[in-house]
Amino acid sequence: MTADQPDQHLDDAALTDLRDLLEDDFSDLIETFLGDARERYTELVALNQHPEPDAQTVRGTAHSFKGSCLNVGVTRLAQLCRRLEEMANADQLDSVDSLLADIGTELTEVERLLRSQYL
Amino acid sequence: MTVSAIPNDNGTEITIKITGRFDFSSHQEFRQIYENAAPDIQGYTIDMSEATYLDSSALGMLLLLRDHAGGDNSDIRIVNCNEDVRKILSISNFGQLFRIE
Amino acid sequence: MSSASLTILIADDNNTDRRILSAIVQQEGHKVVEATNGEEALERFNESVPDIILMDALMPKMNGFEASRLIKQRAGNQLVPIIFLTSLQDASSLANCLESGGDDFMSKPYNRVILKAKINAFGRMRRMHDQLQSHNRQMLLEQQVAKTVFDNVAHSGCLALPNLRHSLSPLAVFNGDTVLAERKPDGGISLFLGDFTGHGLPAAIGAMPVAEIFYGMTQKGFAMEDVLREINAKLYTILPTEVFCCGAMVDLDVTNKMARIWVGGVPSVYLYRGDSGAVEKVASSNLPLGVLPSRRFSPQPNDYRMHNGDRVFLWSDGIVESHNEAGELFGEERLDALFTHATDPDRIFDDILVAVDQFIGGSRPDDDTTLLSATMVDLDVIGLPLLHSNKASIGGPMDWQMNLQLGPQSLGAFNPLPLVLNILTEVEGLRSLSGHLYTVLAELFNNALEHGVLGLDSKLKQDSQGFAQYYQLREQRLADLTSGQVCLDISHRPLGNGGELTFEITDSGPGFAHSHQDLAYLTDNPDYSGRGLALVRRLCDELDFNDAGNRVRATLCWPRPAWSELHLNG
Repeated sequence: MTADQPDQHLDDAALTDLRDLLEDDFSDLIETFLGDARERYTELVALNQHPEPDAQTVRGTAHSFKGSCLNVGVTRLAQLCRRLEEMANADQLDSVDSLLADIGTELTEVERLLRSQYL
Repeated sequence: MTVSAIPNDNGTEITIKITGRFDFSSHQEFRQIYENAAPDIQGYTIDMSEATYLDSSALGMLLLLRDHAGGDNSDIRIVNCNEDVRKILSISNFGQLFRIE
Repeated sequence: MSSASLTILIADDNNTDRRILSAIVQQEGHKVVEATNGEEALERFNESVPDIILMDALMPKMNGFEASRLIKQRAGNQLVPIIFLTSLQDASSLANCLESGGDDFMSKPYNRVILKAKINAFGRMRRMHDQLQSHNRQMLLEQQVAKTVFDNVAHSGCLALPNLRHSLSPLAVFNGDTVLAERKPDGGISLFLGDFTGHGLPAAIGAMPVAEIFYGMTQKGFAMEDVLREINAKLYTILPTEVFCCGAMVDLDVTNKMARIWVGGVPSVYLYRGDSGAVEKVASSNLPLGVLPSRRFSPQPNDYRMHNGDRVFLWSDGIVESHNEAGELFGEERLDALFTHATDPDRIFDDILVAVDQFIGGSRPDDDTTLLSATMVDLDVIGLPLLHSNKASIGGPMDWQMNLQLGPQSLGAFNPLPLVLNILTEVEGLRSLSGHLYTVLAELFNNALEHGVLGLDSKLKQDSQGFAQYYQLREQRLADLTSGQVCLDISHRPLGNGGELTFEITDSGPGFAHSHQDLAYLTDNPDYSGRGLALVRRLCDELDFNDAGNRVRATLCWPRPAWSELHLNG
């Protein structure tokens, strides 16, 4: 579903599943996810401001970010993180500014959607 | 190693052919062949032309076949043994129990 | 722990992922232990001994690969399945998961159905592994006990005598090879080498009754034919059809200087002549033990004259069938060459072991190089045996006499010596003399039978061809016997602080006075025929013959000086 609908912000089926699984802990999980996501985004931005960004660290953070996005069903953000991971892997970090900006915008949108629809 | 069985035309005799090493690993296969053979088998021929070696477990299997085939009244020929196989059969004096040709 | 509930360690630095995983795993009724990096995973592993580990590949401080390596190292024989959690997709990363000790991997996002199935599958595998381990421990324990029992039974013999050498792997019990040696009451030595079909406990188990029968009957003075018959009957009864015992037995008569050899299913026994260096091979001419029912089993040993320094070598097929890394067999020719080129007979035994060892090189032997050798020596080199007796040591019968008459059929079918010896050792004071008594009794009885009843001429035995012929004739005449008898009159009376035992043995023959063998010839001729009688004369207080020479009377008083004080060769 992720690959088929790359433009979708949220995978509602996955989120519903999670809500059934976690019951009362679900909102707590979403808060944890959003807190972690914001933290990772800030970290990525900081890494990118360094004159010679450490590609391995960028890659690891993006990889982990992508993983939790996938698990929570935050589809498009996961897609953007994967692109960043691939660029870090190919050592092409000199042109990621716009990608990072997209990630920031998408994160804000996801925060809004999750809060309005799931909390 | 492999064991294969060929019944003769009128189904009263069966030739069991051993290929490769005849040892403990063939226990199940060998047993199945004579246990699944027709009940009116009168004579057995063990064809050793392709057998390279036999160990004492194989000798044990031959004794099992002999019991199955009627013990002292059994009719079992062991044919086409190479030198190694013949030697092992002769050290254990299986010529007293089987017709070795 | 119930069969379904497992302890599962989840190591993931990502809070969201870890919480989702925990929820999935807990919903299945398992207990969760969490770690947020590799180092923590290692600590949690040591504390809580989880059944399964779910491990994120990339984590700070210590990544999942390194943590897996260390955990697998620590787990040793314990099976701790590790499932890697990763969204890494490239083949080399996935391979890295498995190489560092991972057993499987799961991709993100987690598919709950697959994750549950994997946990259940590894839970089952883990339980099976635990069972296997516990069975294995149990089996090792049982083998240890079995080996102890076997050692107690098998190693009660006389393998430590200076003229015997043997080689047997410490685990030989479980490959079915057995080596036994025991003194005969007349001072001789019986040797047995057995090789059971198959391996493991089933092969070892048959060795127990063999050892019991061998020691028990040999000590009591039974002939090797009787021992072999008994072993065969016992194995035929107790073993399944496909299990049997290839073996060889050798009886060394150190007094009359002969070897009786029986070979059934093991490679030829070698008889090495000390003076000429020649080798005679005694090929297997019998089916292995435990194959034929009693009525069809008739052990027929071959008799060989032996000089001091002559040796016998017995082996299982392990030596000839040892193979090197190229798959070549050691073979009889290599073995023969060792004998041909031997310069020092004392070193042949070691040379064989070294040669086989060098030949197989790095490859492991299929079977074991079980080897036994014995050298013909004089009795004073090995002394008379101290036979163990488990009878109570109180008094026993002191004043009695008995008469035993054996007719032609009984002479052929029955050996009275073990029975008589058993009665004699009821007398407490005679118990420690059973070696003496057997020697005297056996010599006198055999003289009566062979010369008196069967009319055999001792002179025949003076060359090796005649020697074999002598024993063939003995066999044949005994089988054809229709008349004749041997009478044993034995009496005992108290005397002083001990007792006096008298044997009187009468045969139906004409007596040696009618032949060319007179008493002086018999006792003074140092060669084969006279040896036995000369020994008897030294062992007894009195020894005399009637005029005809068909009745002999021997008297022994006890207590008497120890063997060493008799100056055998004096």
